[in-house]
Amino acid sequence: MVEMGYEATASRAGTQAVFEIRGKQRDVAAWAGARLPPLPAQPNTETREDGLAICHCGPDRWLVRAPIRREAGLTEALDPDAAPVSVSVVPVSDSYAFFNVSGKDADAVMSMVTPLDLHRSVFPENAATFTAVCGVRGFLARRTRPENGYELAVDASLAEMVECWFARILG
Amino acid sequence: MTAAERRLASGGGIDRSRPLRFTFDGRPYRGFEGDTLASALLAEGVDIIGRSFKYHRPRGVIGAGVEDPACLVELAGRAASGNQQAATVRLRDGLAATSVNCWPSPELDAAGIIGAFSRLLPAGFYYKTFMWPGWRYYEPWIRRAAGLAAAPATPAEGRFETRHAHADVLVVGAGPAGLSAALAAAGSGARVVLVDDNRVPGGALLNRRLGIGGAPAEEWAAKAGGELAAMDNVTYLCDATAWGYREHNLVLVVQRNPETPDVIERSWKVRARRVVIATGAHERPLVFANNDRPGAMLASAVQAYVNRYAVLPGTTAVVFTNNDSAYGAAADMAAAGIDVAAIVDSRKDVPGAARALVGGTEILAGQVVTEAHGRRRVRSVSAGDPAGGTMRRIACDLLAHSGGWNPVVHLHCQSRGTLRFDDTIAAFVPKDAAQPAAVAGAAAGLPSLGDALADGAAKGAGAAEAAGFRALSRPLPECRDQPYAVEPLWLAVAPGREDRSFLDILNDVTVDDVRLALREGYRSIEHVKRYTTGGMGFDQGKTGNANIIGTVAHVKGIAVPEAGFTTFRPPYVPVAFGAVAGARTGPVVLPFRHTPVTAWNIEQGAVMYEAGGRWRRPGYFPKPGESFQDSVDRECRSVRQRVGVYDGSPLGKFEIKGRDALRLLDLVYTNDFSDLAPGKGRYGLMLTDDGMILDDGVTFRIDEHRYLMTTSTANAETVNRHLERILQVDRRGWDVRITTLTSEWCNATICGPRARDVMKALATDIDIDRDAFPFMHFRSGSVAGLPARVFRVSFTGEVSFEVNVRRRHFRSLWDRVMDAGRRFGIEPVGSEASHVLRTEKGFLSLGHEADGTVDPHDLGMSWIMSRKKADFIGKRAVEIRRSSGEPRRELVGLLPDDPEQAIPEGAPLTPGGSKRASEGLTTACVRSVVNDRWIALALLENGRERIGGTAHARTRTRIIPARIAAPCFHDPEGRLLRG
Repeated sequence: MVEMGYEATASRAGTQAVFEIRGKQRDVAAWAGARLPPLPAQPNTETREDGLAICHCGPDRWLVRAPIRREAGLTEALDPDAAPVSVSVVPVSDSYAFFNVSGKDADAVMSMVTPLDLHRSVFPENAATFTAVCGVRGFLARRTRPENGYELAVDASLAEMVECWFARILG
Repeated sequence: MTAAERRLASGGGIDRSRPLRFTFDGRPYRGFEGDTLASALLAEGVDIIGRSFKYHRPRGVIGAGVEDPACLVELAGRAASGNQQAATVRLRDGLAATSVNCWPSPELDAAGIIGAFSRLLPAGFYYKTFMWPGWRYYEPWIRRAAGLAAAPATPAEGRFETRHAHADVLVVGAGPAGLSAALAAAGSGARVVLVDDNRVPGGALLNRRLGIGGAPAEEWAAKAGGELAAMDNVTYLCDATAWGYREHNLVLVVQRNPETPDVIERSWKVRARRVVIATGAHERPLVFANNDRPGAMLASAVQAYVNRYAVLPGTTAVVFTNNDSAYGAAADMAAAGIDVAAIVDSRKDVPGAARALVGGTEILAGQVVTEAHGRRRVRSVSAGDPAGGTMRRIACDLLAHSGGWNPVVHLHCQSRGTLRFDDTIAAFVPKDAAQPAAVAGAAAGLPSLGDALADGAAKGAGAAEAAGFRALSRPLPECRDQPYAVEPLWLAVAPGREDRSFLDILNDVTVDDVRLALREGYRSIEHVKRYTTGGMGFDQGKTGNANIIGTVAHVKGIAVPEAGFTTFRPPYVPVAFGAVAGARTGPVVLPFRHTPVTAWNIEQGAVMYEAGGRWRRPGYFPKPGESFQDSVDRECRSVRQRVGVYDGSPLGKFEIKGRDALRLLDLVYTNDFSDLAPGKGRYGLMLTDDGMILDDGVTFRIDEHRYLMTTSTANAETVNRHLERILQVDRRGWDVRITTLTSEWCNATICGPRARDVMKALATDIDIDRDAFPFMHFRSGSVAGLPARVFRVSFTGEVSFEVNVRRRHFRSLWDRVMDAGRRFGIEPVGSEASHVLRTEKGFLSLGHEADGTVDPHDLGMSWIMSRKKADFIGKRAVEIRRSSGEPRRELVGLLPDDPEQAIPEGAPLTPGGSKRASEGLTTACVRSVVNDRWIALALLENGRERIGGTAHARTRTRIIPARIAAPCFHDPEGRLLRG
């Protein structure tokens, strides 16, 4: 955890259960709809239900996130090996390193790591998207609990670099 | 006049209750909060602040802001910085500044002698004179003698930041038009970012004595600024300058002295839906002999120092003008106590309103100042009728001159907006915008205060409405203004004095230089700029451009618009590199990637560096007393004789699924994948559209419609983009989906004759016998109690097991591999040893043998070019290229005649080692442990036909003969790796 001159904290979060699902919405819904929250209608938004979140993060592309303790159950439910040819279900929990940024100055801190417009009118509570984070591709979602802030994820191999970024920005 | 007499007892925007101490060239001085370094130095009686760029002429303060072209300083200490404009440096306690381009001091500059020879040093002199034996021999000396400040020896104390911001409306400038625009836009509810380079709002209103709404104009500005700062939808960046205007309304801003502790400067990248450019206008100098002498200042600057900083830059002044605005300046000077000896106006008819401002002051209408006199400071001027007659000498220590006003069109032009020449104000003004932007107020060519307020309000409201908001009408305040009229005057130079009449004061460009450029045939204004350097550098022609253009037009006898204008480039003001970089410095200047065993590698003393794809990998693992070569040899021997393990995690990995997955593979790979059975893998080569090798790797079939593709480390992202482009652009209807798994699965590659023993010792439920688990197959199961996918692939030429586990398990796997392998003599292997091992086998490496110029035939891989498939990417290009029959460079091995002689990688091969065009190059050269000698791979013209012959590598110091051999030095039949 990095304590900063800014009134905000940036901390590395634990591994999450993450599944990348690709396929047409109707096919995805047919295969996994009953096991997941409703698929978000709008791109770059996510629906959250019972600890599960599903983000519409690109054309025919969805990202399912859940606490890591639910990974085995989700694997069983989504059954990647049995998914029809029209749907890809790929466990990618280890591909991402997650970070939480929160606090009064979280917006100021985030303005230093991403070019995305994070104003609430543009990036509302259910917003979630892939974008540029610390100069690399990353996933970004608004976080409302336990306090206002952001959840971001980058390729796991870049985790130390992102920690270094935060240390330099906020140190 | 003493220093005390130069500072007025009252008035101005300085805070006399907060005195500040600072040093300049080591001498102590005092100023006040609210001063700039320039105003404080003026108040302390410092006339010469630096020496000029080329001729080392003494230079003093000319302007009162970013337009000042003369006074660069170096700052030391906390905010150490190379080239800062004294007129924009905010004074603070303890500030330490030094002058630029002079030694030992600005007053006694040893290089000042150069000025005496200025006639011999015209534009282009250096490039014409210092040609032989080469410019490079002279350049360091010339650069030392001429130019700008050096970069600080130590970094600034503190840090820089870069922030992104977004706005519905960005307003640049908080003068009357900018404030008016911001108020109108913000009132609509739009998100407004207001940027201004002053610490307080008002712009030019701060320097003049005007009225708005029945009160002094600066009070209106302060109120408007306060109103804006209090609005939630407004971000007001003061002490900040917009210095670059990029595509898609991205405006770059540097903010000085932000409120965050230890942040020196903050850079903002503001993306706006609409931009209102309200950057005002710069006064342009008049051109006469010695117009750069300390004491010769822009009239508006004198007015600013008097009104805003309560400083008298002189005691007796002559005002030289061709327009009305200088009369207001003269009135303010007189009111402050400066004796205005005369106003020299090049216009024969001076408007009555202008005369009324300076009742009682002598006005010399229809006359010009042709020369300023005085060595270190203006002592008098010569004035008279430009048509001829007697010149009158007028004693003065201050010459305030005004050649009219140039709208500040830099940002507009950077955004690719166009200009037109406006005859009524004799200046270039914005014409068409190229991006969603509007120019308001004086920047748009509207010199009157009332027009600026109205135009700003209209442009601000228009911008908000264009961004989707409803602007409310807001009554415009009444204002008290001064009239403005101008008659252009481009030159007021007496014959023979044009070499001392400066057009671009920053770059020491004189009227003579422009005449020379035109005589030498530089007709385009852009060419004149390049030849003379006029308008270049940090100044970007703020004060010089219009005069250069006017002079060109005058000399050529054409109208000013016909002369054209030059390109304005960013940055608009000097910007520290640190502000551009922000946090992206030091270890994060470029991204870096780690695997889960990076810490382990470092603990083992590995020498780490990037080995492609931004991955930091171990190069080698030195042991105490070992040389680099000792370490690499030891690691190679472990693989060839016992067992080694390397971290293959960075290899690109992609899951490809869909009904058309096989079609995709057959399109991108040169060989046929249609008969690849589930559980098996196949090596493949990808070509670019022009038939050159893009990447290689092994793809495994998981089930009927699912594949796992591996790529090289460095090209993983390139391949991903290549595949996505095909699916998203070229073959949109194909049913294929790609998921990146590079970081999901990490692999420990166990290789060597004892690799199978280590696998057994690890305990696995996979049958790893040769026949049960052959080469180029994969199996899923458990290894060391961890769920794993194991691949039989080899990049070393030895028996290999690539054990892939989820990232979370990798460190655990690695520790267990090292434990299990200990009794078999396992060693970790770095990328240097991998390079040796693959070179011994003749396996291609992207970036070495596949350097973007070769096709598979060149590498002896014709077997991989399918004749069965109708098409694949690159096929046609290869066929067309090879149909020409031109000789190709082909992969061969090289054995230096001296087995202990290395050939530098990249060394050219030339016929007989002679100094002729190369016939190839050395792509790799390593010391082979199995051959106990140096071996190399090379691309050599018609190489395969020449096997058995001799090639010659040519280096700077020697010619290295080498026998040409087949490009494989170890187990050419491949029996070991299949074992």
